[in-house]
Amino acid sequence: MAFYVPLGPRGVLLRLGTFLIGVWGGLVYRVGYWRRSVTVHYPEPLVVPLPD
Amino acid sequence: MKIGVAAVQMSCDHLNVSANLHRADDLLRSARESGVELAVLPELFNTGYSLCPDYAPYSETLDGPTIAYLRGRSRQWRMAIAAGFVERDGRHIYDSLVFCTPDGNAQIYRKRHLVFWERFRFHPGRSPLVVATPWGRVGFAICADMIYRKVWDGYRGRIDMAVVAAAWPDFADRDSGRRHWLLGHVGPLSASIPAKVAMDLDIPVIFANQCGETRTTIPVLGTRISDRFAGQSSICDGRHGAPARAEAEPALLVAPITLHHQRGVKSWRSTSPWAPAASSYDWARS
Repeated sequence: MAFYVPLGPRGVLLRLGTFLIGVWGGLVYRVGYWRRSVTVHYPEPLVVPLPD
Repeated sequence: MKIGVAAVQMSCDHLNVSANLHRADDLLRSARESGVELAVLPELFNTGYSLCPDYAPYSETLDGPTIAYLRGRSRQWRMAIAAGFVERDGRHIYDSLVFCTPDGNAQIYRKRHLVFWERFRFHPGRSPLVVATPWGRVGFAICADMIYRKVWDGYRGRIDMAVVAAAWPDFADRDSGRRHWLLGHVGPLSASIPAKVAMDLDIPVIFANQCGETRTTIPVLGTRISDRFAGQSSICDGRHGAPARAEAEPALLVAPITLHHQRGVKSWRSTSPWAPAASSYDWARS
């Protein structure tokens, strides 16, 4: 996938690293995905009262 | 047409949603008092941006508390607000941006190009987002999206303004200032890419980045850089002058932008003060 700005030789390394992380990270993400509940529960700290 | 816009550059406490929303609220209030019609907050402004074991407890659907707050403020202050947050859709978690408009609508853009640890925690988005507004068509990107050519080629000719929310690190050790051997040259791109896009696509670009200390984690390389977010938020008005730019500290950047609502036909309606003009728009038509 082409970069919008030229990154030179380091761009090749960046692209390769991003690919490897994408594969590995995708597998790790999938494990979390199956363990996660479908429903969302908002814990107490997420209730945020703000002044009018 | 000229409208006033704001890029909110703020530091965010990691996983402290309440503190971050209060901080953002103060800045949005200042933006509103400056007559701003569109304010942009950084990527993951409510949770902060850093590797954490699980973002699921902080993920939200469209009826979540962060979105409810942003929609409420947008309606109340007649100001469109774009902001990054952790989105939940079933079991999937996304690094997303919500665009709230004064009519109560909220549209979601999901980051398509995940980098570093993000791929371990988020699912990538699949499509661009173009929202029609009374000012013209707005396109969206999140942080690393903007380094890929296909993102801007996809928006070319389809949008009249671009909004980018980011948590873009500096990739330089915050104590020694030494840049990372591989990524050190990527940090300064946070300043140059929005300006380049604005010139290239001839559209205004509003870029809101986080600031403050962070730790950049890069799996595979086993790298951790104790660095800072780059800041350098900017408002680039296409070919209508030099970009307004923040430094590395917290800032509320406010500037006018020039919109050519219909390409080829220049409409130079200047709205001043901006806020009353915004409230007179019929958002339902958009």
